[in-house]
Amino acid sequence: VKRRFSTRAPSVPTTIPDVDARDLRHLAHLARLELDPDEVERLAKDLATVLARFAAIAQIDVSSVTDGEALRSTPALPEGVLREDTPRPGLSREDALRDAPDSQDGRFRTPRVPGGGS
Amino acid sequence: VSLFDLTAAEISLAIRGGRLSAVAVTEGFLARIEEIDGRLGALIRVTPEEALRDAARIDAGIANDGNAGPLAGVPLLVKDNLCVRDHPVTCGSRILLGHTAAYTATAVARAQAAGAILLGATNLDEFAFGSSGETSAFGPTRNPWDLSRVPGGSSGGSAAAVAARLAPLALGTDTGGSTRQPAALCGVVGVRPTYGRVSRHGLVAFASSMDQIGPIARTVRDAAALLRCIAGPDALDATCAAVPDLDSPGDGPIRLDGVRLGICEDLAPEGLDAEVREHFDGSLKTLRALGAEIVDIGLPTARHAVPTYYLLAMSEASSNLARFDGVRYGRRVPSDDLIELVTRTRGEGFGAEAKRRILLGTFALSAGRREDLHGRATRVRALLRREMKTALASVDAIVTPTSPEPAFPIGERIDDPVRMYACDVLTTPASLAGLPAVSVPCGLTGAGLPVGLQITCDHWRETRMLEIGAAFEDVTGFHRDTPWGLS
Repeated sequence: VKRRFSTRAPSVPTTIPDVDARDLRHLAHLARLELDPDEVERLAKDLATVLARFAAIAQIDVSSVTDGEALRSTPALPEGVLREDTPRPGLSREDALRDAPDSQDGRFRTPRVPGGGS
Repeated sequence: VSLFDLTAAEISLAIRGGRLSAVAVTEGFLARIEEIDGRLGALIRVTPEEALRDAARIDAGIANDGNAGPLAGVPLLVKDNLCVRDHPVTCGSRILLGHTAAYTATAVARAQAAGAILLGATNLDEFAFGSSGETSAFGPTRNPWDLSRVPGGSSGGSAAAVAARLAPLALGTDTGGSTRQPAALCGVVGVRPTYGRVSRHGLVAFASSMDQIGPIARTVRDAAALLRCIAGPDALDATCAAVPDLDSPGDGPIRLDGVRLGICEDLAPEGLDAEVREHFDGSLKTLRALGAEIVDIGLPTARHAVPTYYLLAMSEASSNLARFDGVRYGRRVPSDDLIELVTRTRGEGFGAEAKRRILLGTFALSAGRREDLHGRATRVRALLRREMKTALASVDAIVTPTSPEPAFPIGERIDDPVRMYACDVLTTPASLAGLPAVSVPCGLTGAGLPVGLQITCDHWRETRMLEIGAAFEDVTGFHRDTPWGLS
């Protein structure tokens, strides 16, 4: 079989770590997601399975890719796609607030932010 | 010929020529939706009053001065992640229940300005997260060729609706294959335009470096007509470019003499369904008979497209979905504590697949993991794009099957994310590289399930891509097959 890609070790060693229920609860906290205990267990298993499948990309030699090339995630757009930065009407305050679950005096209203004063 | 079997081009021609009225066409399709969609679940919302009002305006315009756009009176359905002012936009999610859009997506507004009549919104995988049309909070969409099977996803509602003749045109969105794969599984045409061809203003973002809006239709020419109407620069989307060169295929027969088409064995490392392979080989014969030359190309990195795509798409999704916090729109689970309010709102509002993706994306972007996961994926993407650009410098298009297999049974993969993600093995390379691609029907399996042929071209080469698709469609006629799942 013809070797189609290099399996040389990448310059920085990479491993895909495992995920257990404790890690999952931490991730859920970072993502502001309330999960019940069943979900924590199921999702920890799902994440571990999916990440194991993704582990293969750690083996690909990407040393030829420059930072600039990696950052350019879209096709090269022609010059001059940015419009002039001139003021113009945007979404009105009324429209922005009309579906807010709670609002007051032209602002979104939420419970107090912990430690944020009144 | 039944009204429902007419193409968009035929309908608009008849309306402009006074042989049909837009109101009669709209009434006809609304009645068909009423009759059929209960079994299909392709639509989330139908808006008959506005549709009939818009249709009456088209008829009046034609009667007054004969003026009418290229889509005059043609019924259109749009995926429910595209905003239409004063209408709900659900993204198939509980978290947006109660929300109505404050503005209209540019693509929808342009289609309407061209005369299309918006009939309603189509079902989708929640936030376009899925390859089966099953993860919507409104329940699954069914495949009109076999109601026990999935239509594909995430634009499953749009593809099933067009296949079932609920409208001749629909808009879908394609991040990793979400117009092309459901089009393949439902036997219709689905287009992913070049990244930057169509404004995403008014599209609820999933993965901003890959999201594109694209047409779904029964013929390549209809899809091309809709694409021409929605394409072009927009001051409200800086990623949308002013590039010329987008023409519809001509009406006459198209030859492919001198056209070089690349095929690549690396693309489906886990294999193709035997019947998909057979139809693909048959398609290559047809393309050769049209004059095309088939050449082997190498895309060694394409075998890593699925993990690369998912790492990037989930990372971007976890960031884009941070805005659903119960503060500004949608539903709120009340609490005296702000963090708890946000956490509960999101916990109750998002479905299982959305949670999986948010958590995986959060993981891929978290401190200490980011370089190895998201960072590495951006580099693999760059490698793949380089390989595809090199290949497309020597061939006019890359041809592959669209999906490695035909429609699978509802429920078969919903709890198996790895198997579900593998559905996208052939569609994610174009997404990662920002390339345009189209799926056209290329036959039916022994069990009567559609198979799709995918044609991928270089950036901004949609005209050539659609010509190749139209040439194939003209000589095969698979697009004329009618789903029997509903009869």
